[in-house]
Amino acid sequence: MLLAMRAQGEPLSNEVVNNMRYTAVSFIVAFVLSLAVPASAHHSHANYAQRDWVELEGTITNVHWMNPHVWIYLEVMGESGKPVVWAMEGGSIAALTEGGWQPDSVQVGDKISARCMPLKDGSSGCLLGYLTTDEHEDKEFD
Amino acid sequence: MVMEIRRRFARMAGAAIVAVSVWSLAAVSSAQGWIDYVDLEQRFRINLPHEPAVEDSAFLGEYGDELPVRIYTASDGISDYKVSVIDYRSAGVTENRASIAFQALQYRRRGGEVTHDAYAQIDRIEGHQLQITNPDQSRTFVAIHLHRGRLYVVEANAPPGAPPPGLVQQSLVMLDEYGNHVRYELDADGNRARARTVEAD
Repeated sequence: MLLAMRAQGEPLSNEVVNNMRYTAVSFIVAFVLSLAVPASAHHSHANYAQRDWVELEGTITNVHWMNPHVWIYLEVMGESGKPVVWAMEGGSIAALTEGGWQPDSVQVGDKISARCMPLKDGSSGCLLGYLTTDEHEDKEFD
Repeated sequence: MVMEIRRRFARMAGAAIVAVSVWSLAAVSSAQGWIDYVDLEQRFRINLPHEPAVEDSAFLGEYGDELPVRIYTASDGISDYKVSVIDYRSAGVTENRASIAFQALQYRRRGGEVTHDAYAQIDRIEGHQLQITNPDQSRTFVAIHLHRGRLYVVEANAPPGAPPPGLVQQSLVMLDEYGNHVRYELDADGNRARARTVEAD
């Protein structure tokens, strides 16, 4: 319709131009919002002992590079001498990417160490925390 | 003429926003066989090992209302996962507001050692989490959240010796009618407003 109006030599009114500007700005704002990084954590962390830290060293058995949280499963040698798999919760993909991590930064079979806050229930899970890999030294993974 | 143009632009803007929403969902890809399962009708997303089996049933609320519930189940071969979406939209205010406490009570009554039993929020949507070590040493992780008349109950069960099933418990995301991630700002009195900044996913 706008092209038809121009073809007919009809000038665009200020109101029409303002509508176009408003629509363009709305689209840009919607797009930028879809790229925005989280303002804060996705969920509360009451299930983690946030003043305690555990240090783990082992081999990655699985990586879930997904939103809302990236998870790493790390097999470590337990106190009983048997291997124990820890489930370690990291940040969102956006937050990790912003921090310099990529999906291939942590891969199955990698030997890494981690510092994280353990679950209060005593099971083998924790909130990251920091990772030391071949590429990074004690780097935040949240 | 101006009104017609305005209507056309409104439709174009709506289409653009929907396109951005679809792009956002498409950016959520699966990893290691797991998926970010999306149910736009029930307005949630959650990490699951595969497309869940879905079943409709009924749930008896605390005040005697029979409520529709949609149940989603999946397993990764080690741990089992279940999401129940109970529809409280036809129930009264008290039934709605009591639903989280009532659901948490059902889990406490099942037995086992309750190792975590606390208020929780996801994207400032309030709820409750429980972690239970069952008599056979398996672990049950639960998240319960009420959003716009739907009660979302996430239950993850890991056998003895398996890693704790926090991944599913912590991955619930609420969606709006366009599939966009819902997040709120919340004050100490419980008042909330839709947040302007959301996660890029």
